[in-house]
Amino acid sequence: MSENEHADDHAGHFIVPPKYYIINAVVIAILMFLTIAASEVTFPGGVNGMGYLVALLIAILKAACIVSIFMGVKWNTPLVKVFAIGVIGWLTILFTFPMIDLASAKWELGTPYSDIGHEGENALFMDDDAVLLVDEEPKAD
Amino acid sequence: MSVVTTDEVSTSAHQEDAQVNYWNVNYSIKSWLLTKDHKRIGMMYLASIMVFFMVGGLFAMLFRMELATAEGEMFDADMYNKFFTLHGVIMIFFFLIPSIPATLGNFFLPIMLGAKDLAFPKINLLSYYIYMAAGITALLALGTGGVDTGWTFYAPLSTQYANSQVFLTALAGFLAGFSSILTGLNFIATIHKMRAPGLTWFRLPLFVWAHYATGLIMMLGTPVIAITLFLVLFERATGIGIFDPAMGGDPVLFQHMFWYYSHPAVYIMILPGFGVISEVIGCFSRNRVFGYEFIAFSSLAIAILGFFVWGHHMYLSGQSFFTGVIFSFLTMMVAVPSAIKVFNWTATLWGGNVSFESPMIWAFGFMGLFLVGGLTGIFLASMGADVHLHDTYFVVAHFHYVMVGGMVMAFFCGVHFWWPKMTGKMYPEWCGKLSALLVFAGFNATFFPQFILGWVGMPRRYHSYPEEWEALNILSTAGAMLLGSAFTFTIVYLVWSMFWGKDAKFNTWGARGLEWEKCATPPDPHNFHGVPVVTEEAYAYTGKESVDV
Amino acid sequence: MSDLTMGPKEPIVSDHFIDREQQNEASHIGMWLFLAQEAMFFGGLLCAYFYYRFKYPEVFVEGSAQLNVYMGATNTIVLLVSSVTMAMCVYSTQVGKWKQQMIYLSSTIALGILFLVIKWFEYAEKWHYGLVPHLNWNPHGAHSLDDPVKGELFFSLYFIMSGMHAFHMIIGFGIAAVFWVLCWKKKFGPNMYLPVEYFGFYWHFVDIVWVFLFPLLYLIK
Repeated sequence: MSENEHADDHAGHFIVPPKYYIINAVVIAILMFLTIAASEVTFPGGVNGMGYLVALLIAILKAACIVSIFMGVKWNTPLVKVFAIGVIGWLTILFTFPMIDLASAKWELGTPYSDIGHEGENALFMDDDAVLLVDEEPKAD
Repeated sequence: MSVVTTDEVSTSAHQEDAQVNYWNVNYSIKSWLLTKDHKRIGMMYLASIMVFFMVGGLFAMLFRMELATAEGEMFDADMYNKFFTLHGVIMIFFFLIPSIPATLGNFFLPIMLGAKDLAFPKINLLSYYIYMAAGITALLALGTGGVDTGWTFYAPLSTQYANSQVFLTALAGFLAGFSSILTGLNFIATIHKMRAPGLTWFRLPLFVWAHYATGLIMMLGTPVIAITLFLVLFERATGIGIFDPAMGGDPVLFQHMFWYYSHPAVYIMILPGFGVISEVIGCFSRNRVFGYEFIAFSSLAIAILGFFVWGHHMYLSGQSFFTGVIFSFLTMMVAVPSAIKVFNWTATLWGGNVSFESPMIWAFGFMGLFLVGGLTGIFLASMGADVHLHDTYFVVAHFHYVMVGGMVMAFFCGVHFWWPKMTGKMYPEWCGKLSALLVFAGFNATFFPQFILGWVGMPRRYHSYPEEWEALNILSTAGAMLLGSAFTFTIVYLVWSMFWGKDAKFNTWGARGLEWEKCATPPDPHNFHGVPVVTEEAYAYTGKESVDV
Repeated sequence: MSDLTMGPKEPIVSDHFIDREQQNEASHIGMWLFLAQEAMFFGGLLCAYFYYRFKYPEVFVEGSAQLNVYMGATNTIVLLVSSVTMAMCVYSTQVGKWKQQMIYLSSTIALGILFLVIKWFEYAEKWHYGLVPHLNWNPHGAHSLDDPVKGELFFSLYFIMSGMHAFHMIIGFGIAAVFWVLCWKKKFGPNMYLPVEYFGFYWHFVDIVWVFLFPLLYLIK
């Protein structure tokens, strides 16, 4: 089997030499063992602390290896790279806002618009009379 | 833009009768059902979408009749719930989301790009069949009892407590989503890779920019509603779910996932309309669209920013106050690109040679109604106002102004504009103008009272209400009857014109663009003879073009 | 050296494209767009995962401890090797080596089946211990959890996420079977290898999803 460094087919499409695949697989396997080892280490921050971040980073690195070598993006046009990174951006939007919601749930900022959890403490919410919409006596039902 | 073709431009492009076009090239049923021609697929979509529009509209008429009286006399609450749910599901998933992209977009995108077809014609056909499968599933759900959760399918009502056809309806929505994804995929690949020589990005018609932005939203957002609906389906089918509060599940998470798509979805339901309006206003002012780059980039800005604002549907749902503040700020920002467009269209009219053919009447209707709808959105973006207005008729009026007053008017505007090109037939001009005016009148009569009703507190999704609001509701129902009649009238004369309308001239409106100047009426099966080469900017109107009705 | 009977003699260009380059570029973008939307699809599940892990950290630790790390790690290696064999299958098609192509494709399929078999054993183990939500949830059985109520939430998420991934593996296996037949008939070769390459992309994508699922589900400590 002869393998050129820059083997091309007739349309000029780059054919990736197999040795890239083998090296890539070894790298990813090493990263996998690394992530298992890292999970045994006690990082600061607890369950959702540094260990979480390390696991995610290693996973992202493995994914990057697969995308760039196995899927060939390393040798693709910039457009494909933009699409690949764009998706990561969009996923980030999806993940971030609900997390912000959870993280900020207990913060008390300014005038509240509900009294859940603090019933009976805020005069704004303690009005027993029904609000009349028009200037009439409330109708008996 | 003026074009020069590399091969001979066949002068048969100017003979309407004897030429082969995409209608008469093959009359067999199989040639339609297995077609790969984007034009035929577009027409099939048009027919299907109009059917669903009528079905969804029928439900609207039914519950508007119920709302004409303060007591819930016609149907019980469950039935009413089913009607508004089905109205929403059908109108959103089966009419508005595919409307312009699947019909006019499918038809004209390749032609405007100078290509023979979309990048993936078979996937285009698949998209249509998935849409039809979804539609049949929805009709099946309708026929076997309907669904009463609201089109928003909030968990845990939809996943656990509802005893209506949630599974079938969610499945229909899930399938319709895939149809949408495939359409968007096709559009983006085609626009990137199949532009004619000389057709740079900034020479593209704004219709194409609008569809590119729409395609982006379809690709990035729809899969998330797909997984959300899948979770509903899975829980209905197996009982395994993640939204049950009893085991720590969080309904607010469902809403985050749901609205992550459903807010950008409303931009899918308006951006193509913006594209149509740019084309029509350019044509009937005989003027280059003012601020072309601004309109092009604002389409992208809306597509991108639109993904950051979904929490404004959830101010009162239990998300944190801080999150609400962020979403409120971002929602105010997303109004800016839309406003830029409205300013630019207005500036296009200024100094132009404006005429009032029927597409232009529809376009003016759009401008006025969309303006009202967009501005009222700003009220709702503000958390303070939204506390009072959430889940009232103010919201209902707002989204109908943008979706019906905006998108549906733009849809009919586009259909009227391109009808002669697509069908080779022309409808009576007076019909086109009359229906635009009737729709405008009926629409305002229906929905303007709803702003007032919402402001004074009438909640949405209730089948009965206090008597003091009855007068406005009667007005709204009367308007709905007029609106329904006007839409029916429109569809009737359009269908009539296909069989008995007079033949259209080559370029009915004197418009510029590849589809008007270099493509036959109706188009040849392969769109062009040879490959068009583009040498001028878009909208090269000289002001002296004339209508040839 | 290359098998000249593999695939068409000349590249086939569909008539709506101007030339082969346009066809190749358009189809390449099309495949990536498809994968982008698949990524968003799985992203929804990840969103739910991140949300609930943030909300109930101890529940996730406990749930994760019930999962079999060895099976998970083995599956990771299985998928990794199958990615290599798939990439090699594409390479063989590109340079026109039929026997190699068939061997690599068969290996990929075999490894995919192995993955599903290991997964089956994993799920069977969960069933045995009464850890399948709603259908067989018995938290006071052999593996009693500190928080059986919220533990059911974790396992719902586990089954839905890994199940969705396994479902995509099964679809991949189905497509691979079709490709196996087509490759046997020498439909693909140096002048037509893009379908094989794009199937390879799908396979790699499924691998990427597992790369995230493994640490997120199995290695929470």
